[in-house]
Amino acid sequence: MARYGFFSRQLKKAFGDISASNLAIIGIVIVGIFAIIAIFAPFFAPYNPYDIDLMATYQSPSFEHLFGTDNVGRDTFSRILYGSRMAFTITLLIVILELSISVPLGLISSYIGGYFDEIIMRIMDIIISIPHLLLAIVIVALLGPNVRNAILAIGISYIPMLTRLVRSVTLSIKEEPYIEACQVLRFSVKRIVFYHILPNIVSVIIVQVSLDLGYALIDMASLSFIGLGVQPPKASWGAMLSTGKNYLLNTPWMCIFPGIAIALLVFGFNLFGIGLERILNPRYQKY
Amino acid sequence: MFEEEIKLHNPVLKTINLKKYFLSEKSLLTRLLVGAKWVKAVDGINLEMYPEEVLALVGESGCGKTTLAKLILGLLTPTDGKIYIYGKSPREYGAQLATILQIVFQEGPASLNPRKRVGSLIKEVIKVHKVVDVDKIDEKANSILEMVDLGKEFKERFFHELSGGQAQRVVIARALALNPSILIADEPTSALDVSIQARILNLLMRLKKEFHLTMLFITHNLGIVRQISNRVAVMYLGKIVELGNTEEIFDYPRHPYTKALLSAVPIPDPTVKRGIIVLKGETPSPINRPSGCAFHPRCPFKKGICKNKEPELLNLNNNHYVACHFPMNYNSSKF
Amino acid sequence: MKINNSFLLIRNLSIYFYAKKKIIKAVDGVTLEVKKGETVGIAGESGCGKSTLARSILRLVPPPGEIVSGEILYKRSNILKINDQQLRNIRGNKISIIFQDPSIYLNPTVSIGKQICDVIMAHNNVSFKNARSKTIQLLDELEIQEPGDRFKNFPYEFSGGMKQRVLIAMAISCNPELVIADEPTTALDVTIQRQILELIKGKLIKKDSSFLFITHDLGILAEICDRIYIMYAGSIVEQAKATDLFQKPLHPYTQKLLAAIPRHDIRKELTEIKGSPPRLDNLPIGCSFYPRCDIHTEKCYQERPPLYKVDEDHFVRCYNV
Repeated sequence: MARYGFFSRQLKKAFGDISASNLAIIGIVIVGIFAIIAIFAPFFAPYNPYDIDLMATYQSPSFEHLFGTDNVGRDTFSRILYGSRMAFTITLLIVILELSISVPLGLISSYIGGYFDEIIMRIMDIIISIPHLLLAIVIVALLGPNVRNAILAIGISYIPMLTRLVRSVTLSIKEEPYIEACQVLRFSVKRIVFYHILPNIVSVIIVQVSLDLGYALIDMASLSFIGLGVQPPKASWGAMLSTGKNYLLNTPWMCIFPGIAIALLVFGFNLFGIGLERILNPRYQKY
Repeated sequence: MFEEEIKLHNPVLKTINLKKYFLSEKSLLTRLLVGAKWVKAVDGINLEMYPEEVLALVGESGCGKTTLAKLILGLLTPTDGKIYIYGKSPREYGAQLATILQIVFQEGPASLNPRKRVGSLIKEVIKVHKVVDVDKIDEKANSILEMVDLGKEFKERFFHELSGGQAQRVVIARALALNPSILIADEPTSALDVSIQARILNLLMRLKKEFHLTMLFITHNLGIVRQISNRVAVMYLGKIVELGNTEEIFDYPRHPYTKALLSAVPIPDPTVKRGIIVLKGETPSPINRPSGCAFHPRCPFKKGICKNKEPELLNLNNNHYVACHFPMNYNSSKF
Repeated sequence: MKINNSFLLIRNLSIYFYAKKKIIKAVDGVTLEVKKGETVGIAGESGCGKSTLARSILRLVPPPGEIVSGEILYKRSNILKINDQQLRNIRGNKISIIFQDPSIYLNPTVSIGKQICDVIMAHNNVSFKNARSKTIQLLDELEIQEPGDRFKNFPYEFSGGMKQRVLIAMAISCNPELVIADEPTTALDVTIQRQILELIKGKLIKKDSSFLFITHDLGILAEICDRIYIMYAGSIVEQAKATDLFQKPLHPYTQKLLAAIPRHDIRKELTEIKGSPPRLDNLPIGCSFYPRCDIHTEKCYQERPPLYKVDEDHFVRCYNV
């Protein structure tokens, strides 16, 4: 119809594009900038993030100290730059831990089914019924507060969600005729699961994982904030927030800048995840 | 004649009283609280297939024809009954069964993994079952594609780059890559247009001759059955109600259901005049199978006994089996 | 063609779908006529544009589809030009449509009876009570057992065949002058299809109302239609009276199509049609069938053949007849 004319079509096209790939691109750009910062932190940082300068404590932002200094005179800007290294390493490690357990577990549990599946899923239900940050706190409290344990704790608390996701997607793929065809051809379970099913669920996993990256960053910051994650004096955004909160009234920049850094990177991860979902999910794909 | 020929051979495939019951509720909790009924998807099938014949399995949706195929393929475990393939149970063959028994599924494109190229799908089969030496896999894949009239260039394609007919040919190629002797075709053309359908059917028949295949052809399209099959088995609610030579079934159907089914199919020729039997009501669900003859609530010729006593599948004459208390008679005139 | 006599006249209609970087010509210059009281069939394979054509009659072409040219005259008023109010008066009231998959078009949360009542009340100024009794009468007419009880049922309690009856009830509830049926029996089993066909023959095809039946199954058309249009790749390639079409098909496509249908009443060699239908975004310049045709000449791929009149009511788009 003429009514669905040229203009609205163009509008739709443009809008459709923004809601899909452009979101992901904005996300990638944000994440990319942080990644470059993390890699080249020593080049960008004007100061050593661990250098204590008791002559220059509590300084407000200036050309000398872009983001001001903290209670022992360390340059906040440099610390944020170095903190991004910590942020990336930790979130990536958490996600790798999550992936390496959830994906095989979800795939195999769903493909084999029966009691094995039932038992695995009930275990996951138990884990999922505990709020995951609380679970992480318990685990860290048991194992002792350090980075390794914090990564372990958050990683474990993420496993049930991804496992269930992988399982449910596998369940639907399992019923597809092409998997049945593989069964008729008497392929081994290993081949069917990892060679035929896995490639078809990768997109779902990628989307979930890119969202999890954001959550992992927040959760790690939270743990660090309450002193169970990265321990000071290491430059981590969560720990910086934690220190900064004591001086919030007088020197708010000690909190504001790490806060902004966390928010931005999480935003980047999420945009990337959402955009990716729009691109990969056929429900959003039209014409 | 064909029936004389088949007696000389032992059956290639034989099922004895094959049954598959499902529970209507899957969850344990609902089963305990509400209770569940048995869905008798396949209910006592005795079938024999002889070398190089095409046996058509006909029935409407929900009659259990696909379940039967899956039982034979070993994708489902039977509740009761036995299957023999060349006199041995499928379990005895293990993974080797794939080289004896294959299937062409209905949804051609859907039975190809969307993330794999045609070439790798075919080579995979050859590789896993070690059909040829490693260095000859490529050559073999080419010859298999050529067999279904597809060129080498198709090896690089994904399934969404294929038309329906091409995809179905790839599926056939993949099934025949292992050189099986029995092929089950489950509605291989029902998703295709008429103009493509004829090609696929002719291809299947050509390959049947070349490979000396024994074929179980599952379909709801009676037109196809007439063109390609030697014998026909008509299924209704999990049971075979009529079994016999194609020409005889089509010209002289003895079971009222077969007759109604045949008369229901429109013929693309307005000059053909014939009597049409319109069946009342719907096919009952296999959960609530009617008593006696399962067809009696819809049967236009039912009598008292039909409701109480289940008819057995009996040989009327000439290997024409019918499960009906009052099979149709054609003594007086041809219908 | 005389406008006076015709009741629905589609002239030179083209519908294109604008996808990314390509134009899909779903309907390409179709002229079609339905006379009063006539049953007309459109046959074609999947993707030939027959459903789009059917939908366009009620202006139901989904975006990004656009009607780029042509007119659809219903009793001399162009459906493409009338305002929404007038269109609403025609939809359901004068022209109604039955689709292939009934479950999509029924609201799962509203009872069957209520949904039919809604249709009746939307087009007639009647009370719910009257609409209800009319609905029950309709359900009864369509051979639904115990219509009074069935009135309160929800769509999930109905089988596919029953749902299709409900849609037919909706379609005929306002005594339309034209009913369009788009593959109404394709999703059904043979015996259920037969029931619906008998209903259509008995209840829908009346002397004073017209019927447009779209399907890929030529067998059905042979049984119920007066005239048949054969569609291929977005255009009409042959149109004829039903008997003529099956007795002496003229277009090579029609001939081959008829020869390719496996019939259960005779055993014959199935003739193949080589190749596959052209893509609608990349149609050949000349005759769209020439790549698959055995008798094509040089002219066939240079210029699109016009619709030749070979007989009264028999038109063929082919140079070689």
